[in-house]
Amino acid sequence: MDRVELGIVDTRNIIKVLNDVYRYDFSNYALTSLRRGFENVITRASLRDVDALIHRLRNDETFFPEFLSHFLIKSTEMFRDPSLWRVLKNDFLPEQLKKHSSFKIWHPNVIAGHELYSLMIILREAGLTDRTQVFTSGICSECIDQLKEGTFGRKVFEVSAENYIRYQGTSDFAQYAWIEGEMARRDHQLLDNVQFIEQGKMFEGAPRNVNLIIFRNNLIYYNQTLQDRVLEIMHDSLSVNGHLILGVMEAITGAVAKKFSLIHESESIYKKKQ
Amino acid sequence: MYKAVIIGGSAGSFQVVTRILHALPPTFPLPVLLCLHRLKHVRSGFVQALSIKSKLPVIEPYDKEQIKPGRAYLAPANYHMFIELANRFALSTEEPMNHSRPAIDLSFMTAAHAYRHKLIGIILSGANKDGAFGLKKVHDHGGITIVQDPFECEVKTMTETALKLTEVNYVFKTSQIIDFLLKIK
Repeated sequence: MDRVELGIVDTRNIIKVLNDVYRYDFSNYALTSLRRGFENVITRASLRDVDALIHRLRNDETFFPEFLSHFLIKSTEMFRDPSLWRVLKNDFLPEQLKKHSSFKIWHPNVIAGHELYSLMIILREAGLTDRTQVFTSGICSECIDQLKEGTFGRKVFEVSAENYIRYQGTSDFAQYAWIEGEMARRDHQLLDNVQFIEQGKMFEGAPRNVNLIIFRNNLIYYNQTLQDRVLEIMHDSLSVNGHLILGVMEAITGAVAKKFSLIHESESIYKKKQ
Repeated sequence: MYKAVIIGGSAGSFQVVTRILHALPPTFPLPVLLCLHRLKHVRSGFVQALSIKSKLPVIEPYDKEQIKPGRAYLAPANYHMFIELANRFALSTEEPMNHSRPAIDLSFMTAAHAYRHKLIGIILSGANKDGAFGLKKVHDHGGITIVQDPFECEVKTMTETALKLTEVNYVFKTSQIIDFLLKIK
């Protein structure tokens, strides 16, 4: 395993340059993942060492989009936790749509788009595409270009296809995604009804009166301070009785916990308290 | 003087872990961190199976959960389990390592970083090389390294790879691992 291993001082120095030059504050990210993310950038951008990374960040601002695309974790798969998607399609969404004439869904921090594509597939299979408005946003423009274009890794494709069967989809996964040479490709028309909106560094410009936020496996990369802060933003963005879905091993703790109630324990679905 | 025990295993390790958890008393002074290869799409059942004979509570930690002595923590399905410096877990969906998520290497590396020489790392039976690099990190930080005797292992690959990479402190049969752990004050 020939990857650079960063120490605490290295990590702090990178945090500093990102703050100085780009006004991105990574100081409240979970330390181990942050360190590994920086190490990934050094490896994937073929940089020599930490000094080379700092030099590049300080002197070449055009490098920043590439930095983000290497740094951000984009390795989950479509229909991760198949039972969640089944619950959404069969129970949660049909029930909600009985109560609401229009239904706004926000998927913040989109990276690889696996969750976004999964969402659009279940909406189509539930016949709810026309009755829902889906917003997504992210900080990595290169990632968004790539997910719109539709290609993704073959390994992720294989896992996703298995997940689709466990989710018990009503169609054939091959209708949505297929192998193309060394890569896999998704039908990008699935995203036709998705509105890509701007996302500020701290989710400035978050949509209002959102009925459902899908924000799974993002909090794990934050420390408690940043988790609380981001959950407050999500809370503000939700409508009365709106719902928030987190990753299955993420929990709302800390001061903000009293503002949400857990309504589906195994799938981590929370409801905003009034 | 130690702060944690970390155990990695794959094929053939379940019975061994079960025996260890059965032997440790509820007053065991350290947390036991378990990183065992498991099916990524099966979320439930494993904790229950390990709990049957364990005298320690077996828990799949939530992200940022605090690590406490006298408990066994099992890396959850389809997440990597990191040990943070503040004696908390942090989970990750980073890509699989050695075809594994959870990867034993990552749990061991981060635990070695957090606990340094106050860590006991144990590699059990398994069918791939995951864990060998992590155990080396435990060794490099001055921690105690133990490998299950390959002759006792159902599948030898994991222990033999670990032994090739690191000059470990002990090669133990399961009963000796238990004796060693029971002497920890």
